[in-house]
Amino acid sequence: MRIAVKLRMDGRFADLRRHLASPEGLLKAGCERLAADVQRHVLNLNRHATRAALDARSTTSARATNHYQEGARSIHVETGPGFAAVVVPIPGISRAFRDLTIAPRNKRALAIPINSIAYAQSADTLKAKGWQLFSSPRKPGICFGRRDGEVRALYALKSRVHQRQDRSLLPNDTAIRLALTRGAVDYLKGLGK
Amino acid sequence: MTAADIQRIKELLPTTLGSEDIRATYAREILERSVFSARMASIPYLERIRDVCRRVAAGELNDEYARTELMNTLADMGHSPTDDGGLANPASFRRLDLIVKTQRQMAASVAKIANQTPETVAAVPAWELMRFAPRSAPRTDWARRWEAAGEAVGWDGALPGVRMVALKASPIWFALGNGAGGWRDTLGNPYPPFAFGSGLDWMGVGRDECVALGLIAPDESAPTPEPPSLEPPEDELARLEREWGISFEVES
Repeated sequence: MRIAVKLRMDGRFADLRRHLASPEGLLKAGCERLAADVQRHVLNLNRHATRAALDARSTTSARATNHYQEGARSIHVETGPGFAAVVVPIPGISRAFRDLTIAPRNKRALAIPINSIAYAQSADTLKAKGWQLFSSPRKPGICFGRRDGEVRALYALKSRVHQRQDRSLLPNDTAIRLALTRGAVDYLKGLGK
Repeated sequence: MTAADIQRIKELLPTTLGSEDIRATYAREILERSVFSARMASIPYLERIRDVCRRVAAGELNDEYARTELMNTLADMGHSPTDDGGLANPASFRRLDLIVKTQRQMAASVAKIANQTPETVAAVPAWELMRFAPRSAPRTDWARRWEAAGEAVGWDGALPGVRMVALKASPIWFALGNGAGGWRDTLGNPYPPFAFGSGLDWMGVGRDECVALGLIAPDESAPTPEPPSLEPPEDELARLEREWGISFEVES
């Protein structure tokens, strides 16, 4: 996901504009600051509800994915002639701005983990770990797994999943514009030194 | 800016939400500038909390009298310490004690950060998180919290190991305050108290010791932590746009 940014300067800065070869420095400085703030925000997301819920009804602990924390490392700024953007390459993060509907791409159904064993593990991974996966006509929509004589309900099978917008995944609109403005103002102050 | 100043300028945030929902609903910056209490929508009571906590921060009132003042205000509202509900009872001793201690420690921490300058950071570049106040049932998981927070930020400016030492500007303080690793009793602040009722606080670590510990190189200068902004973000944005004549448009 990209947060694209445009800069507006009012007439009072005609003089300053003459000193700036282009306003790109301002854009870049603003975006660098925004990227840092977005990184910090994402790094501090504390989303463990799904894993905690699975752990609460299982005897084993789900493996932590650190989805947002790992993703935060990839946040960066992209600039080019007349544009700048903060790139947040984290799957699902665009849910900060809109609802998301997820549908299977190459499979018949989405496999939603309902057991801590299956959390952050694809069906293919579990098969490779020796789980034999099957479904039962008596419990449609559930994927079971069998290994070493043990049978567990592992996934709920869904044709699609709708996720509601969660604006708290990224800084709010004011915080985004404030970060950009703070970065740009720091850059302008630096020019004066 | 003193801790008492910080309490004085706080805004009131009446809410019917519980602690976890408050943290999920409001941005940290809003909570930092606000006086709030879980499931408490009474503005007069929040005003009383603000006033009492300002006097505690200024050293004009001790904890016992602070709790009594709050209890008396709640008694006028029909609450009693003997009501059921434990910590959810606004008049319970534990709840009042938690409010007074948490507000005092938070204001002191914000004042501590707000007063950092390149000079103070040069002399004392780091903080060590250590126990100041004993607790009858102290948390035993601080080492695991520290490890989880450190790993979440790649040990940026922080030391792994038994001593919880990190540069003042290290992001580990944010991670610790946000419960990195899944802890849910944190307050969302990058400063003590890092969890409800915690008796841990910051002790400064001098430059020589930071160099000896390997936190900074002998010729390296430590970064200054960003002071918490007590100006509402909307106001700061409008002021900067007005003063500098620039504004940004965002598409996502």
